[in-house]
Amino acid sequence: MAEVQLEIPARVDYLVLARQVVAAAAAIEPRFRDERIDDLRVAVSEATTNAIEAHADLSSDERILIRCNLGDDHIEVQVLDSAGGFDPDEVVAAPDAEAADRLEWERGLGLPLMRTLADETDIRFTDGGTAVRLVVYTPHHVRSEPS
Amino acid sequence: MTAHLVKLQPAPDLVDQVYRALLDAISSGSLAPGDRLTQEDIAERLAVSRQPVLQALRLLKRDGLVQDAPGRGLLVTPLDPAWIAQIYEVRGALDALAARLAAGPPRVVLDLGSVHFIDSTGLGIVLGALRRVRVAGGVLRVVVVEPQLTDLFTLLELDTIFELHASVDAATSAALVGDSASAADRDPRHG
Repeated sequence: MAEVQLEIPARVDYLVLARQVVAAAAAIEPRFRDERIDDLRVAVSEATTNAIEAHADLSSDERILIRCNLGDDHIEVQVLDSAGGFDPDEVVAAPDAEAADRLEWERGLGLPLMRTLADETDIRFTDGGTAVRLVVYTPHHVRSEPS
Repeated sequence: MTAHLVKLQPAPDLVDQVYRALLDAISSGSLAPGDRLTQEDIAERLAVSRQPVLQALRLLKRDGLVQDAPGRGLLVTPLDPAWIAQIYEVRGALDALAARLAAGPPRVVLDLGSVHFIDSTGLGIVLGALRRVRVAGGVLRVVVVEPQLTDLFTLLELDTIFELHASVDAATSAALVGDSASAADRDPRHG
C-alpha cells in the first residue's frame, strides 16, 4: 500500500491544494473513473473545510494532516486535525428540500455530502481532535461479507 | 435591586463596514502582505470601538486574509494577488446583486456555466442568494453545465429548490416568464 501525506496550515487558501493532491493521488490508479475522483474531491473538501473552521474558532496554530493510502482496490483518505473535535451525532441536519425553512440553512450540507459521496465514512473524535476517514473503492471491488 | 442587562452585540452592519474597509485596504495594497494589525490601531483609524474590529478580524481570519502573527496579534496573509482578486470579484458581484435587490423585484440568472467544482460552502452561498432574491419578491434561475455540479444539486435534492438550466439563454427566458416553476419553462436537459 502506497502512502502520500500532506500537511497544511489551517487556512482556506490551502483547500485547493488538499483537493488537488488527493485527486492526483487517486488518478494514479487508472481504474478510478473521473466521477469517483470528483466524489472524493468533494468529500475531502468538506472534511478539510470542517477542520479549517474548527481551527479558526480556536485561534489555533496547529496544522491539518491529510493522509492518502492507495490500496489495490481502494483509496483511503484521512483528514486529521487537533482542534478539539466534535460529535457528528450532535450536528443538526438541514431540513428536507421541501421544508418551508430550507432556505434558512446555508450550512449543514457538508456531513451528508461526505457520507453520500464516499463508499465509507468514519468520523472519530480523537484525543484532542477529529479524524475523518473516507474510502472510495474501484468499480470492480467486491466487498467481503462479514463472517 | 440588581438589574440583569444582556450584553449587546455590535450592529452587524458595523462589523460588515469594518470588514469591507479592511478588505478594501488589503485588496488595494494599502495594507500589504505581512503588515501587522492590532485591534487598537484599526479601531482608532476607523473611529469605531474594538468589538466590531475583533469580529471583522475573525471573519477575515476565517477567509484566510489575515493570520496569527508570531508572538501576538495578526498580520495580513501573504497571498497570491490572483486569490485576492477572486474574492474581490465575488464580493463585487454580491454588492451589485444587493444594489439591484434594493431597486425592485429582481430577475436574476446565476451563471455557474464556467464553474468546474463546487462543494457545500459554494452551494450554501447559492442558497443564500436564492433566499435574498425570494425575500425581495424576485426569481433566480441557475445555469449549470458541469456534471459535477449537476450531480451535487441532484444528490442534495437542491434541484427541487432551484430551477436549473443548461444555458444562459434558457435561464434568461425562464426568468422573464416569471416565477411559474412549471415544467414547460424548464430546460429539457434538466427535466
